[in-house]
Amino acid sequence: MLYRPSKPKSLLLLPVIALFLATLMFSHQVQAQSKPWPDAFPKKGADGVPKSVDKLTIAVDSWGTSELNPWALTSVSFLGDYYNLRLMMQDPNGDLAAAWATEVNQTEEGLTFKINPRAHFQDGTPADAEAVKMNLEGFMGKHVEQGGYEAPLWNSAKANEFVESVKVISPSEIFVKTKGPKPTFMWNLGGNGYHLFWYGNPTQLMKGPQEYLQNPAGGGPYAIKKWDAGNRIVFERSEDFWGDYPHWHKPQAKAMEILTVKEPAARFALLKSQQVDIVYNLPWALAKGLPRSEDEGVRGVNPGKGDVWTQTYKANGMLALTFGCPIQIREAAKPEGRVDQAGVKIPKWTVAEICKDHPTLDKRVRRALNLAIDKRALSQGPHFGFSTPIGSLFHAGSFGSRPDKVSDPSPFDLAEAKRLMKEAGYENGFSMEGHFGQFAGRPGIPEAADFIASSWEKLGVKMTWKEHDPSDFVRGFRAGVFSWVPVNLQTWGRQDHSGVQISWYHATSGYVGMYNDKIEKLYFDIIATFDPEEMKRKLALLEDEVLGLEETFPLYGMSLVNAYTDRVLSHPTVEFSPHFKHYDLVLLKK
Amino acid sequence: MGRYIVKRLIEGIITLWLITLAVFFILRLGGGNPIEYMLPPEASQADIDKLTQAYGFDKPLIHQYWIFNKKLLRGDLGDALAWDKRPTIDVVWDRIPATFQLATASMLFAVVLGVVIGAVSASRPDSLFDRVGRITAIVGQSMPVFWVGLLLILLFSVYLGWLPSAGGIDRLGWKGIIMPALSLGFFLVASHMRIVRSTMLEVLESDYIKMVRAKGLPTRMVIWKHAFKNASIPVFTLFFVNFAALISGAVVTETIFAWPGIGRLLVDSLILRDYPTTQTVIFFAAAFIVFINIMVDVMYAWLDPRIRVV
Repeated sequence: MLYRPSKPKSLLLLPVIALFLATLMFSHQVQAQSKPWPDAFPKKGADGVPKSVDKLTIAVDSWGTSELNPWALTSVSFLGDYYNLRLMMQDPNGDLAAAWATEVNQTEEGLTFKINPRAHFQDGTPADAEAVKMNLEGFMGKHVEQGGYEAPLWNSAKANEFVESVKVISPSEIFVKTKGPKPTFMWNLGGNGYHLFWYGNPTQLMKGPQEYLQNPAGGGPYAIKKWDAGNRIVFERSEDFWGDYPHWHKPQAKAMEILTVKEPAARFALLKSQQVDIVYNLPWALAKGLPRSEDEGVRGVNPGKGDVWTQTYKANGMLALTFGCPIQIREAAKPEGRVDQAGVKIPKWTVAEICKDHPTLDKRVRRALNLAIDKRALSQGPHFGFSTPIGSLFHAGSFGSRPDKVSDPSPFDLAEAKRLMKEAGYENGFSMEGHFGQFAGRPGIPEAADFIASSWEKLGVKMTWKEHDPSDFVRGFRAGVFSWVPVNLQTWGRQDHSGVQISWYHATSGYVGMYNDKIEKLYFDIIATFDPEEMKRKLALLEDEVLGLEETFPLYGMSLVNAYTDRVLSHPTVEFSPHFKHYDLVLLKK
Repeated sequence: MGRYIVKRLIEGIITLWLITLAVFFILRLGGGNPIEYMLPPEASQADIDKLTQAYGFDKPLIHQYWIFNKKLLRGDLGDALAWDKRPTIDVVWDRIPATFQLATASMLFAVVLGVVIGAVSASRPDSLFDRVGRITAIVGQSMPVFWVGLLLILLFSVYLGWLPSAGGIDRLGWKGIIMPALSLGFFLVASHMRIVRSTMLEVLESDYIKMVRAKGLPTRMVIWKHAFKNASIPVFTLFFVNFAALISGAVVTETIFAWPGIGRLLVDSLILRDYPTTQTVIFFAAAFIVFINIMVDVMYAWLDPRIRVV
């Protein structure tokens, strides 16, 4: 078993019984959700599939931040998957699988990783437990002085929040002592899902940020041949790559080139003219008429229905309608100088002038506005069926999200909405301003804004939407600020663990979701809850509390379309993802 | 002449300095600390404070500007906040060749076509050629560059499969520059064609041309050897003005064709709130425009000594 959370022996029996019962109860569903990878996918070197091809070319809208050095990233970069390491990873079925580490054993005290003894970096240096230690300490900012890095590193806050100390047990075994139980460690630093930490070659990293660029010599399946920040990267296959797992091994393509092409029509033209093999994030309007592998056969396998085919990443993000005035009023009434349970100062809230007497302070108005939006029509109309109406704060398929909640959006009931508006004294409606930002990789937001405006017109509510720069928009949700009132379209990037997402439903968050004292208390309780089932139960409580406030209403889960030319035979990858993955597993015709 | 050049150089340096002053403060008018944009939302205040200090954003604006000027005198425009934190001069310098290539190819296309159509149209006013030429020019100027770019991609890449459409010369070779240069140059053909046509019409009516014609020289000689030479001064000016504008970044064309020039760099840096890189791009572009203007002024002064006195 790869992932083994271990507990004190006295508590072992209960989960075992629960697991047994759950297995019996859900065995039918498990069978129904079959995992086609790897059996239903073509194999390299078999049935005419070449063992090796020259080049794979991909056009993307963005690869995150244009920086290579994992200790000096200013934000997430998705290129790290190919030249650097993760402790563990998701296989194409979305299961936690071996990568640099072959095994992890987690307790309330920390995590023990077994490192693959074959692992090494591209300059021949061993990728052993000592290298893991150096990386973790690097993330925590401990090598800043020696390495010549600017302090601190962007991920240091997170690393310091999780890691107490790191102990090398042997060259292939390491113990990471955590600051108390950290059940989400694997989703933050461990490589499961939305991995924000890539591990580099310590020898090169210690040479400093500029020297590192000359030769990153990572431990991944590809080495960097050409790097043109912001424009393109050319990888060449690392011929002595040590990975030999079914989900991570020497790639078929000798070279992989990724280009950033921000204009969607230009990306599509590249695909249609076969200048690239794959286009990441094809706009829904262009993708709507193309054959979808998930509908035509096996998701991720070329269905052979023309020159172009697609595969969709589901639930890469979500959109929620959020009313900010109630939280401002509630929090501003509290005394100054409070601290949260972690001892972090809670900023003083102020109330915007517009919020002092705004119709959306009335729960009936908020409920009416939500009821007036036909989420299914939004999904089928302006979103061409590529979005999914949801009823949950959490992303489909993530740990802690309830499938029944996710697939149960709030109803569309215009008559009830009108009745509520009348009851609240707003029969003739009112005018208000709303706010949204457009984020790379999260399509459909402006269309949703237009759709909502026309829906609310039926209640006499006249909307003026203001679009903001995404960075400004995110910063407007800082605790104590919450600028975007009275209403906004708050967007969430996918988190594969809902316990990670709730860190924003919290009083000192940098991107505040709705909260009150009860939610705040639950948050601290949840992040220290080690038992997965107990955690799920508490996440459900938190979600019910947030939704019960009727200050935020989930609208839809987004999706991202990968489009392929006929040259691509298969791209096994996860169903849910916030960004591109597993391009090293793509198989091509000659 | 020497004094005139020195005077223009001093004026140019003052202009550049004023530009840096304006750009420095305008970028910061929006308020906010760029470090807050650089770090993720979950970054602690302590982390934000440390990095703010490391980059000097904690100091008063005037102090920051003073440091900027001191560094500028040493040829140091600071390190990028994004782009691997490299020195901004290196980041911009890497992109300049691609922008220069695109600007040169576009101008070449615009000038050759504009001059030929303009000159021939002027020699045969109101002929079919003249009318078609004028319509072509108007069409070129009316169609948005991005639309022309997409049409070219559709025709030459998607339907015919003749030309590649993403990346610079280092990736695609000389074929890669054809479509970006055409789409950008097409817009500029009109202005060149118009100015050549109008000045040529004026020159062709002058007495010395009538005399040349009376001497029995062939029309081709009259137009290209005698008339065009004198009509080319305004074309020369327009060429440099347009070229300088293109060097400062053809953002739309660079975006459509994924061209790795400074136009895209400028937009990306603005989005990332990378002030040092944004300042450096603008500084380079401004320096080039100032240089071109000085050059044109000096050339005019050389051609017409009266200008030096004025």
